[in-house]
Amino acid sequence: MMLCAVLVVSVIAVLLDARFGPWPGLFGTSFVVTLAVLGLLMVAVIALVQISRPIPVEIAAAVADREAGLRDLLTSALWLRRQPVPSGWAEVVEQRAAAAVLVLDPRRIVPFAMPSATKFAAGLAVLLVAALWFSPRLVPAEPHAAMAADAATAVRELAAEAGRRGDAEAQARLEQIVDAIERPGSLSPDEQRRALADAQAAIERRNVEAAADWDKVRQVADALQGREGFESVTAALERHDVRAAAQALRDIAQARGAPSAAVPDDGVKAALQAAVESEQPAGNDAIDQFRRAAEGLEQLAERLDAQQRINQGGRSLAALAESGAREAMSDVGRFRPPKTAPNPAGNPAPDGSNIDGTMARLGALDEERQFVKGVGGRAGDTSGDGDSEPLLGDAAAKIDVKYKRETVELPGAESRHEEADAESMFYAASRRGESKVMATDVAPVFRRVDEESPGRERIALRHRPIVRNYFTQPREQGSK
Amino acid sequence: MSTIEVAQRIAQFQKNFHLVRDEVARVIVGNDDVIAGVMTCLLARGHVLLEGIPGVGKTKLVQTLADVLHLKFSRIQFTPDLMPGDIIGTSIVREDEGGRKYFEFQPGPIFANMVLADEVNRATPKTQSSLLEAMQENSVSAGKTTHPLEQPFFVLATMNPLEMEGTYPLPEAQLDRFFFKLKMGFPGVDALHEVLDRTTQSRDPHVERVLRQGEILEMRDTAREVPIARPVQDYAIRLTLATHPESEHGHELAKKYVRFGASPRGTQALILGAKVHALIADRAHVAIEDVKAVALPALRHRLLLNFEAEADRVDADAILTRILDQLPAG
Repeated sequence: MMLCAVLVVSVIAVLLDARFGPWPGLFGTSFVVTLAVLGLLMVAVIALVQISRPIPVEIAAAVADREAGLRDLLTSALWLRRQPVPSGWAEVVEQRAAAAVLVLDPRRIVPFAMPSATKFAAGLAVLLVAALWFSPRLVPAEPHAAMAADAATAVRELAAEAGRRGDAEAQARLEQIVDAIERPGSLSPDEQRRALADAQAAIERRNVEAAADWDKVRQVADALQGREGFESVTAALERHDVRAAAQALRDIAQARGAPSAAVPDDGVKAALQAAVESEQPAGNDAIDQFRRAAEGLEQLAERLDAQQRINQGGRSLAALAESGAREAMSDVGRFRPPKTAPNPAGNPAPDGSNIDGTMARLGALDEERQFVKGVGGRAGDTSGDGDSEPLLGDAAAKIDVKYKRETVELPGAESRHEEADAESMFYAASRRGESKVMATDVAPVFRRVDEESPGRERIALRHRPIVRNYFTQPREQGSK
Repeated sequence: MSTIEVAQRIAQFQKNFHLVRDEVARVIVGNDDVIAGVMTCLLARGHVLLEGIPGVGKTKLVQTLADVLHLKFSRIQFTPDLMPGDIIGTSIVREDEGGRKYFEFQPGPIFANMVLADEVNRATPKTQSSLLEAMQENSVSAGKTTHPLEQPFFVLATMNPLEMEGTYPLPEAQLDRFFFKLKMGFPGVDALHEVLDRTTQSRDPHVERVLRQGEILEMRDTAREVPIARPVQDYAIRLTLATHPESEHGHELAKKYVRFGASPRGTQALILGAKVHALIADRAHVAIEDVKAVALPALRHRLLLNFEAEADRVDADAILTRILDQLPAG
C-alpha cells in the first residue's frame, strides 16, 4: 500500500517534471529521484516502526490462534489463566495450550510474505529510480535561482557598460531584461523568451569585442616575441595572464630607470603602441610609453575578466533559455485556450469596403493572425506560414510588413490586374475564405525551421553561440 | 476436579456420544448433522423442533434414539381435537377399600423421558400451550398439584412445512422454548438406496441400548462445565445482537428483513450448544468455531422476519449465514 503510494507520488513528480522542467534535488540528483528515494526511506521507517511496536499478548494469542488453526485455544487459556478461581478445566486448557505453543513455528504463523501487488509496486519503484538515476542530465544540476542570479549579474554588467558608453537605449533594454530575469512572471512567456534571446545576442556582441581585445594581446605578444628583456612579459601573455604582463612591463620600466637606457626599438614600440588603448601615440618618453602600455594591458585585463564573468552568466542564461524553450516545446500540439485580443481600432473590418476592385484586407488578416495565434496554428494563415509560436522578434510587426495588401479576383468581375498571372500569385484557403496574394507582396518571414536548419557553414543558428564561445574564449578552453 | 478427571470425563463424553451416534446411524441413513443436533439438544437440556417433509424419518429418528438411550419414550400425535389433558394427564375418581372416593392423577404421555410431539402444529394453541410449562419448568401442574417430570426430559416436536391448511402455527413464545430447530432434508440417491435396502427387506435393523439414564445425566453435567473465554462469549453476544434491527450492532440485512431478533434464550442456546460441540470435537474450551457451528439451528427459529423478507423470499438461514460470514471474530 505504502509502496503504491510512493509509486503514485513518483509518477506525479515525473509528470510535474515533464511539465515544468527538471527541478534540482538533493545530492546533485533531480527532484524526482530525491522524491522517490525519500519515499522509499519513509516506507522503510514506517515498516521499522511497525515491526518494533510491541504487540499486546491478547492480540498475539488471537493471531496465533487464527494463523495456526488452534481454534481459540491460546485465547481461552490466556483468559482462563487470569481468572481468580482455578479449575481442572482451566488447567487442562492451559496444558493443551502449552503443548500447542511448543510445536508452533512462528515463521509459519506470521510468514514474511510480500503480496504480489506490493512486489510489483516495489519493482516498478526501483526501476523508476534506476531509470531516473541513470538518465542523462539535460540541464546542470544547479539551482534555478542561482542560474537566474548569474544571468542577471551578467546582463547588469552589460547594462553598466552600455551606460558607460552612453548608449541609453541599450542600457534601458538590458535593464528591462534584468528585470525579466529576476521576475520571471512579470512578462508573458513569449516576451520572456525574446528578452533572454536579446540578452544572449548582447553577450555574443560582447564576445566579439572580447575577440578584438584578444587580438590586441596577441599583437603585443607577437611584437615582443624574442625581444631580450621582455621574456617575462611574453611568458605572461602566453599564459593569457594579461594582468601579469602589465605588471611585468611596469617592472621593466622601473628597472631600466634612466631614459637613455629605456629607449625601445621599433618592435617594442609597436608592441607598446598596440597595448595602448587610445588612438594617439604613446609619446616619446620611454618610461611614459611603458607606463601607458601597462595601463592599456590592465584595461584589457579588466575587460577580459569582465567578459569571463559575463560568459559565466551567459551559460546560465543559455540554460534558462533552453529551459524556456523546452517548456514551449512541451506545449506544442496542445490546444491552448484562445486568447481573445481586441481588434486594433485602425484596422478595418474583415468585410471592409471594396475600393476599386481591390479589397483592403488588413483588418481581416490581423484578425486571422490573432485567431491563428490563439488556436496554435490549427487553421493556418492565408499564406500558410502560421507563426503561432514565434521564438524571436516581434511577430506582429513582421506580419504587418508581410501582408501589405492583396488583390482578390472577384468571381464574375473583370480583373484590372491582368498582369497578375498564376505564377505571380499566392493562393491560400483559410477558414475565412479564399484569397490570392501577390507574390511580390509576400516578404520572407522568420520561421523556426530557419533557426534549426544549418547554413552554408553547416552550423545551426542556435549552435552558433556555442561555436563562437569556443573560439573566442581561449583562456577557459585552455584551462580545461 | 483434577486435570486427569477432566480429561477422563471428556473422553467418556466423546465415547458415549459416538456410541449413540453410530447406533442411531444403523437405522437412520444420512442426516448425521441432524443426529448430532438432536444429541446436542438432549445433552444441553434443551428441546428440539424437527422440520421436514413427510417420510424423511423424523419420527423414526426419535424412536431410534429412544431405543438407543434406554429411556422412557412416548409419542403424542397432535390433532386438532387433542386436549391438554390428553397430554399431561387427568385426575380420575377412584374408590378405596373403605368405599371412599378420591381423585387420583393419571399421568399423561408427557411423563416420559423422551416425548415425541408429532406434527405439533396441528393441535390448537391451548393444547400446544400445555406443552410449554413442561418444556420450560420440567414439571406439570394438574389441579392443585405440580408434578415434576423425570430427568432427562426431552421433547422432540415435528412439523410439516408443506401442509399449512388446518394447522396452528406455533407462536413465537413457544418457538423460543425450543433449543434447536433442525431441518431434515430429502436424502440423496445413495442415501435413498441405503434406506430402501434397510427397510424393504425381511429383517429390520435392530439397535442396542448403549447408554443408561445416569450416563446421560452425567454427560449433561459435563457439558455445563466446559469453560468459555470472554472473547468467545463476546462473539456469541455480538452474533445475537447482529440479528436485532434496532441494535447498534445490528447487521444491515437484519435491519432490512428482521422484525425481532433472537432472544437472550437464543444466546444461551448458542453457548450451551457450543459447549457440547466443543466436547464432541475433543476440546476443553469453547471456540468461536463451536458457536458458529450451532448458530443456524439455535437462532433460525428465533428470528421474526418482516413482510419485506417474505416478499423477497429471504429466510432466516440466509440472513444468519451472511451475518456469520461478515461478523469479525475479534
